[in-house]
Amino acid sequence: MKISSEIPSAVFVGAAATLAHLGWHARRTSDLDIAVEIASDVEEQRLVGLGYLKLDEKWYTPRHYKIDIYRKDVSGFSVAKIASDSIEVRVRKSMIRVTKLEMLILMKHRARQTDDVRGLIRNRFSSIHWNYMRSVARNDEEVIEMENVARSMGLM
Amino acid sequence: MQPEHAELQMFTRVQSTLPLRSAYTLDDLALALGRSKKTAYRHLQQLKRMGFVIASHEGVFTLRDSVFLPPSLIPKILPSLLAMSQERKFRLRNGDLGIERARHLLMALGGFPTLDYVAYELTGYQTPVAFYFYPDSLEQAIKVLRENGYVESPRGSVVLMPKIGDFSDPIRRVFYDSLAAGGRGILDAIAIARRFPKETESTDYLHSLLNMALKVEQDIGGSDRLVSSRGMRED
Repeated sequence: MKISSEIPSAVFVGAAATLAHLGWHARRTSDLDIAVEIASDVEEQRLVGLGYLKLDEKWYTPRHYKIDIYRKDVSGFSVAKIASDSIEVRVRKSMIRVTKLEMLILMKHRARQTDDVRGLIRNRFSSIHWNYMRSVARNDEEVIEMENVARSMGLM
Repeated sequence: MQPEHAELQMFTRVQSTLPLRSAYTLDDLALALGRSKKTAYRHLQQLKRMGFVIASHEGVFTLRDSVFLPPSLIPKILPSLLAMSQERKFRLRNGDLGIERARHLLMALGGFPTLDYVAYELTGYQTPVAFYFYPDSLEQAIKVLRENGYVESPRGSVVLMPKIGDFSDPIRRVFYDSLAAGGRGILDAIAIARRFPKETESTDYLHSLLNMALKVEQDIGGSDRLVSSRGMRED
């Protein structure tokens, strides 16, 4: 989780966020996705100076993980909104910022990652703030669909 | 193992009319099919029998997204789906997952491991979280797990399934199991197909699709990195 100290405005939005919300009970690939609000954090020269590597337009961390850096939006959420609503979680001895649970569920839903949607709703059902989800969803149907995932598992 | 004609007809109808969603209601199914709720309920029961329904409660249900795979693949993944619909999950009585211990115990008994762990061994692509296993004897495997402190639990990560279908080609079986599982299993199946094209080439249409995807990926090269899911991404 050195990325958080190297790129201070990084908010984890992919596998790392799912892991932060679900513990180790989530399948994942080894690549990382971050939303970055402050452009200067990810200027090419700065990243290269930190030991990041750019190959075929793809970035790799100094620990050789592929990293996707989002500057504008992720699955329809603006980076500014992701950053302002993100939460801080402890991973080992350091703190990292990850996208809010409800936003992550909608991101996974929009990316058609249905396993992750079900896993997040099943395992974090009691932590979901449905009103917040309504406030950031595209429309009511999106939230109703998420509620139906919970209903299908007998949670609502 | 071939689905009955009526079953296949119903399946094709569902596949061609149902939108891709995370969850459905009976009303959604009835609307998509243009039939009554009663008929939709009957179709839902058929989908359950085929192994496509993941969860269902009071008329609301979720489906494996393998339901949207090309119909020519369905007979090939049907044995996997039927086995998965009869899966039994275990974890240690103290709440631990107990995966490593169970792996050791079950492999010694004999059987066929599949999905997460095997897909990871074959491709190194996605980390595994559950141990799926087709024991030679389901009863014996359950007995051994119970004797060693395991209990059945819907949240268990040691998953036993009855041996249904053909296991003569291990890689192909793991490939079909991964396809049948849907979701991240489909990513595993694609990774397996790319690594073992010969063993998985029987899935003609899917294979040609994968080759086309590979061609597009190679042709476009890095230029797609500039575009995010909905707009321009500034790296």
